[in-house]
Amino acid sequence: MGGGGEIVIEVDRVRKTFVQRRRIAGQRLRRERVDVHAVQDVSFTVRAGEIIGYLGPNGAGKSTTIKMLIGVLTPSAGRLRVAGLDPARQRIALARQIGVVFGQRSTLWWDLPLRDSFELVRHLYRVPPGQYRANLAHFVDMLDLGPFLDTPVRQLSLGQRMRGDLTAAFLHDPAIVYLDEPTIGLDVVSKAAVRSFLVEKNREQATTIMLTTHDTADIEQLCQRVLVIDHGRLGFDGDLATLRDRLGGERTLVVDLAAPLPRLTVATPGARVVRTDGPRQWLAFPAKASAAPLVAEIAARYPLVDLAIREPPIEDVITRLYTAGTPSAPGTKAAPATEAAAT
Amino acid sequence: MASHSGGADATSGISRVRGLLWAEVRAYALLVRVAFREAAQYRTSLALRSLTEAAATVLDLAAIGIIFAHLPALDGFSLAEVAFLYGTSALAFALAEAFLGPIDRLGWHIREGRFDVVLIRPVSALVQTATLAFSPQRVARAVQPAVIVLVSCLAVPVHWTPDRVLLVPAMVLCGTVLASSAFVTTAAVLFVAPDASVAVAASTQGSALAARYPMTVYGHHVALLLTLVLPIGFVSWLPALHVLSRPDPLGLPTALRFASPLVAAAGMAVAAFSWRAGVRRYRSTGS
Repeated sequence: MGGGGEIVIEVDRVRKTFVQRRRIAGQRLRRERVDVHAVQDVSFTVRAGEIIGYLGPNGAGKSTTIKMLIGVLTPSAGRLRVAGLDPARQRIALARQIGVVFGQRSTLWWDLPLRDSFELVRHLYRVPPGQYRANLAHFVDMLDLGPFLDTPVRQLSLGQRMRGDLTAAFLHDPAIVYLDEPTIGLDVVSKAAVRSFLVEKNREQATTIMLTTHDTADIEQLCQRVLVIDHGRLGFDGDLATLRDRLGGERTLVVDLAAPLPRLTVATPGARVVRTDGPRQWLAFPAKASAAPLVAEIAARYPLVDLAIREPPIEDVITRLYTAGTPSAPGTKAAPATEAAAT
Repeated sequence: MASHSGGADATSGISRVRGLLWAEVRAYALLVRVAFREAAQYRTSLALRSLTEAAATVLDLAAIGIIFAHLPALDGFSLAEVAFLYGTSALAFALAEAFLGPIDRLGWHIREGRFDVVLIRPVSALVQTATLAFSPQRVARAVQPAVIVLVSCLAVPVHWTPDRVLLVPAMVLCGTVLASSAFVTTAAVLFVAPDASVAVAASTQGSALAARYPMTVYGHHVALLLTLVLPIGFVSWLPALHVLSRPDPLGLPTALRFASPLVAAAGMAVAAFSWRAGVRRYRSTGS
């Protein structure tokens, strides 16, 4: 897994520019043309069997990139190859080899029972009957679809619908699957079901998976590699640990004192109190620094009862990345611009 | 399909195209069946709509009968001849409407983000768009003009030679292709301007109405424009002149009366080009 397979996705200096017409303030009829660069000179490659998290704030260009990879949108410039095909030109041939899940929009037939939607997918993708039966039986078992197989899609809950959408996307054994926010709005149980399903498909059939998400647990549990895009530019390409290291971030020391005290003043470099609540105080300190000097200092100077250390949540890491400013050179992988902001 | 080898490149190319077309036709048939099944989920609604559609058809026929009964001739064309023109063009547009009419909702699908889902399926976007809102009622709308064509064929004073007999279904077929091409071409505009549905509907409805009457009622210049530029005249007016053995009031060459298949083929080419250009410009919606 990860890195061993052949290259299945090739993105080379791809750009997508939308022309928007905006009304000029104070003028009724005249409009000005504005070029909106949704994706700018993005380059990366994906090997067979990787699970990739494609991250970025809303409007960063995640969906635009995914839609170009599917062939829904035509790139304005650059070169795209997925499974050796040009997505926009060879959309239909490519469609047989990929699966797509939109978290916010079902690809199933609203008024048909779930089972009929699957049957239709079988026809459209020409799945051999044996393979279809085996896959469906397996997915029904894994995702517990049995109780609502005969329910029209419009009557399904969000979690049920998502499990149905996942099944539909994997029925034809696609080599590559894109998921756009697959766990959005799901409860904990459904999220776990989605994640373990993806992990299994990836492990057993080396399915290449690329997902966009805002769910940090998705990233931590699924993604071997993350790509971060912001303002249409790729800002990071690497694994999660590297991302954490690069951005540094801060760990938190939570101390319980014998009595409520004013904000502690500590001499350890970089450490400071960020929050107090009665006898409990939170101190932030650099993630790379050892906690020992800080703990020793507090224990020596104040009535310390208990303490706990918290790792920087991945959310904060991502937030820092998004707010770290614009990356430097276009088209670079793992742009170093983010480093400057981290130090 | 790949059984040919050696110098059979052209043949295998043709059989590949045929295979692709056949696949699209099968997908179309499958998706139409699905649309029927989906419509059948709402039985009362389906029954009510079928009932009103049937009532509308009967009333339409009655209204046309009454109008024609008070109209001995229109611009030198007898009642039966006008009915023939009216019926053949209305039938062509009704058939086009039945098969491809639902693509006028493309703008709505785009705004709702449903067109993204269309583009992830391994089936042509046109086939899917045409079947997304397929309704059985639209097919029923072809019944009324078909009745008018049959009745008027019996009523016109025509000596039915084989060429005239053949020309009637041929002109309806070419007319259907032309009307379909017009639908597709105008719908392609919606890729650039998804909110222009009303304008698009008006232009296709307008041409459907314009094609129903003898071109001469519009006056010489407009008639020439409608016939040659738009080319509504090829739907039924020009071939009908041959069927009815009429001289051309506009004085156009008689060869044009048999040119509808060529014009239809050109129309298809324009439609295919516009549709593809439209899909390339598709902008999707934010998520």
